Amino acid sequence: MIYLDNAATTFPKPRAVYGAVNSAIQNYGANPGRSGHKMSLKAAELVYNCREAAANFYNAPNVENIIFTPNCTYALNTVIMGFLKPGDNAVVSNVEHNSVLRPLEFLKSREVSYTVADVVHGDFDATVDNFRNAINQNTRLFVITHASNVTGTILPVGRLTALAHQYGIKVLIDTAQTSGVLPIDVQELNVDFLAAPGHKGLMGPMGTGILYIKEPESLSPLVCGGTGSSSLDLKQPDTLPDRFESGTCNLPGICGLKKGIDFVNSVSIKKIHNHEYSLLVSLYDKLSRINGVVLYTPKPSAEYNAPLISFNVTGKSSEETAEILNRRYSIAVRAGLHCAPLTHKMLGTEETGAVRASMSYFNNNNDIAALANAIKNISYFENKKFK
Amino acid sequence: MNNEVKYMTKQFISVSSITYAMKAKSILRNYGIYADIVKTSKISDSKGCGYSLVLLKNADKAVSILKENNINILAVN
Repeated sequence: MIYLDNAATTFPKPRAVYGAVNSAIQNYGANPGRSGHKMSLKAAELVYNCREAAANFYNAPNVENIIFTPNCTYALNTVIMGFLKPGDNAVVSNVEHNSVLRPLEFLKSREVSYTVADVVHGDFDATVDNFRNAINQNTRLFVITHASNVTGTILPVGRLTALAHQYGIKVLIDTAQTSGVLPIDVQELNVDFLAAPGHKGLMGPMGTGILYIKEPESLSPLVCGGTGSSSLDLKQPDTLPDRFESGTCNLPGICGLKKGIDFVNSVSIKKIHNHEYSLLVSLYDKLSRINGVVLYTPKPSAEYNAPLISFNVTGKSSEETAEILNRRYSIAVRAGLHCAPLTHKMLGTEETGAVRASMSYFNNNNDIAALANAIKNISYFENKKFK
Repeated sequence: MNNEVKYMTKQFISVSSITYAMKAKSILRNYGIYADIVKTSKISDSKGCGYSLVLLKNADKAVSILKENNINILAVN
């Protein structure tokens, strides 16, 4: 199978990831941070090593600023649900994922409101202006995806953070499509919170996520429980990472994530981005030459596009196209609405959805050519049908 | 007798969690001080559960270094 569904989760993973997961289960399967025996301490050391690797990866000031979560959605929810109080307002972009929109919609019942700011592809100034105009006196949080999971449009998170801070507003960025693909320095961006999946660009296993928290004081925990620390105290610990890491952690996943981060570092973000971006440009070029293909991703530029592309074949729903790609050509893509309803409303594709192809470091030009040829055939036969 | 003497010279620096124990161990290693991590044996030192660094020497220096690096020390025994 040609796998071009990397925006959902990357596949394959680096070999070392498989080995680390296997080794963690077979050799270090004790509960980290709970007991004092050798195996538990070794497991804790492995968790710490990954925490340290993640802190270095994002240039977090302290290793304990890194919280492990089961996924990016959980990390986003931890901040959205834990930070916003009755009467507060959040500003989000119109290309957010449901992992942001649904918790905010849920919080409406607690008198939390949110305002949507439109993103203008290729015009950072206009996007920043739209966010500025969306701020009201109750705005306390910006929730901003670093790049759309439908169009790949990159948002100016550094500039938006500077804007937010002018008004005393905190910033949470969703790096689901950019961690491991674009350079991210939390101190340079000065963001207050960052959410990341471990299983996408960071190449780790599913069931892993990362939350960076600059200052924990303002945040209530989403889940309370056992942390292996201060057990006589019925109050949830204030210290990081324990405050946000109740219950047994995903040791095999975290060990795999460590190897994923090591892999990204060993190849380098620059090389990964250059490779994926060149595949994006090639795919855009090929698809744009095919009659009957409607592209929803503007012509790529490195500044404005993450490596994914959305399109449709005229006359077919996105699910039909993806089904043919799967069955006849053994090509894996993602069709539908990608859990991003506002983005599809903006694109006018609420009824049809769109086909999304997303690249990873392990794809090559042959994969891109195979997809383009398949789409060419599908489009040709569809056009012929109507003649 | 020898074992008893050795045991008596061990010093324990209790911290709040396994993460801080690992971090403290790593910081001390950068200063050439090697420590092991054990569960804190005195429940009262950690409000229930916690971890400690165990050293055979340089405990005072280690405490000073850890404080400089913002490691919250719960007890030194």
